[in-house]
Amino acid sequence: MNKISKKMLEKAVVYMILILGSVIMIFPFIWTVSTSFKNQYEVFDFPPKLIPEHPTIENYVQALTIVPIGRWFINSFIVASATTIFVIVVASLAGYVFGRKNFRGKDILLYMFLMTLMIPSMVTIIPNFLLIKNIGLMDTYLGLILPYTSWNLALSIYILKDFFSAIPQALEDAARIDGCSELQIFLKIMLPLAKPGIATIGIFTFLYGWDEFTWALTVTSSASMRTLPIGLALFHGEYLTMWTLLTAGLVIATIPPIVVFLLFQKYFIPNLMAGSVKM
Amino acid sequence: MNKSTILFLLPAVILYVIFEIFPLFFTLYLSFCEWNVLGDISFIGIKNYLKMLSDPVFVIALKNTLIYTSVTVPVQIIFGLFIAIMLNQKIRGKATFRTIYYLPVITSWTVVSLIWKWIYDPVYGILNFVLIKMGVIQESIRWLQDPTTALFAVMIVTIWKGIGWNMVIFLAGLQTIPLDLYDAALVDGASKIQRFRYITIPLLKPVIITVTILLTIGALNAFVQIYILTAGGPLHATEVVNTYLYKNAFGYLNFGYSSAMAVFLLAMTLSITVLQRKFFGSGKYE
Repeated sequence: MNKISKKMLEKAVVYMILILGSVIMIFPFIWTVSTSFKNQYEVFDFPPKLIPEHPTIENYVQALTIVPIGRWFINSFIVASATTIFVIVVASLAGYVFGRKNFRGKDILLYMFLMTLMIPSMVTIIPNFLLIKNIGLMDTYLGLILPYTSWNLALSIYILKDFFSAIPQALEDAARIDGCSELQIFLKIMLPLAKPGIATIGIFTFLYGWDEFTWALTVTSSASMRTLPIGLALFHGEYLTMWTLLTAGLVIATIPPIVVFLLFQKYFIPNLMAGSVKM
Repeated sequence: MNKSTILFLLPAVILYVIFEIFPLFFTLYLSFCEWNVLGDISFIGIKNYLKMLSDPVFVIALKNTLIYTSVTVPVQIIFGLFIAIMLNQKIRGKATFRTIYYLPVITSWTVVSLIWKWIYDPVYGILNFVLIKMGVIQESIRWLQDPTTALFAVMIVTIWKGIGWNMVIFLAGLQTIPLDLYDAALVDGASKIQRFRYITIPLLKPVIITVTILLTIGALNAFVQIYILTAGGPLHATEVVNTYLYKNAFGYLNFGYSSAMAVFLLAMTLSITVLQRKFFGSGKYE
């Protein structure tokens, strides 16, 4: 009996800690959502209320009409999606070769790619800025998409390489005997079998494009070309106390990552490299 | 190398050379030059590096970077591991807990920073309200505006966002530890703490090492959260190398000077990574 009650007590403590932690993790989000439904007077009411007394969607309407959050949202979406497509195409071509071909200098080339994972993007930001400026891509989608694609290649190639090399040789041999060309083998045999890998790199590239801040801050300048993170941060800088409008923007900005996460949860492999290195 | 191999590799290599390799060498070159965009580039040797070491703000920034790294990295790991161990047993609602702890990870740095700026607000912020209600503090604290609390407040945000990432990785690591090891230890009468010390930690060592290295690289190069929360202020209390570098580059257009800082930061990141690898050994348990 004593032993059982000790176990129960232990379990209770574990649950209590987990729940307390969960509250700390989720409360900032709940508070943000709550603020976004308050009107601009209630937000400064004292004491603050968790559930708005007069809930309103006015902040969302204004965020989308007066503040160009809709436009920033579309910009972010275009940039993140285009980057994702570019990365998938370029990285699967290269990943396939690294995973299944043997050639001279292969290891050195792969190491050179992987080395860049250690190089933070701030280190190369000045030359990249000058480059984009000189080829006339400042304040354009391409000025964001091309560098983003490049910066996501190393990790994507590394992940896809393993997926391609795990495909049985017999499948490739059979296709070759049937007279498939290299490109046909790649498109018809290899790509479909590497789908989980492609989904994985697609997700983290999209989230990268959706989140990236420093580069977008540097190479966009007009209000209509800002991405969502930049737009929101600059809006806050200008209207420091407009918390109701800003929180509505924050909620809008958080929906796509959460949808992606919920839809593709099984592809969020806890990859050690993904997500933490390059910011 | 045959033709198709070259063609398959070409797009990746081109993008990589243009946006990674070339800029890397150009930064190195610029770090030995004086250039403020309008004038000509002039070679000045190591003057930028000398200036850096005698620049009091840079020294503060470097010190803050090291404090930020040595606090946020271990604290995230300890909390992440702790929660992972609690979740790695028969627990109801395991998936829900995991999702909740992971929520800050998938939320962008911009959103997280702005949410916390609202929570930290000196007048209307909910944190001050809650802490006063609980009797922890007597009057409102200006978390981000007070030089004595600002760095601490920024570090809290980083830790809060990072715990979930650590948890997920440690959870995956814990699941690779064979259960019969624990059963055998239990038969031998090992206590919970002994099992943690002699089974969990040694078997997780490779994961802990990799996580430490990755978090360290991330922390040394932190920028977005600090830029948004405090922009390095007040009075450089939260200035880190990256915020100072960015100010010098795109605020004062001192491209040469900030390139020197970039090279320094890269060299520091690489040497700390190498040292950590040396210190931890190969990562294989004995």
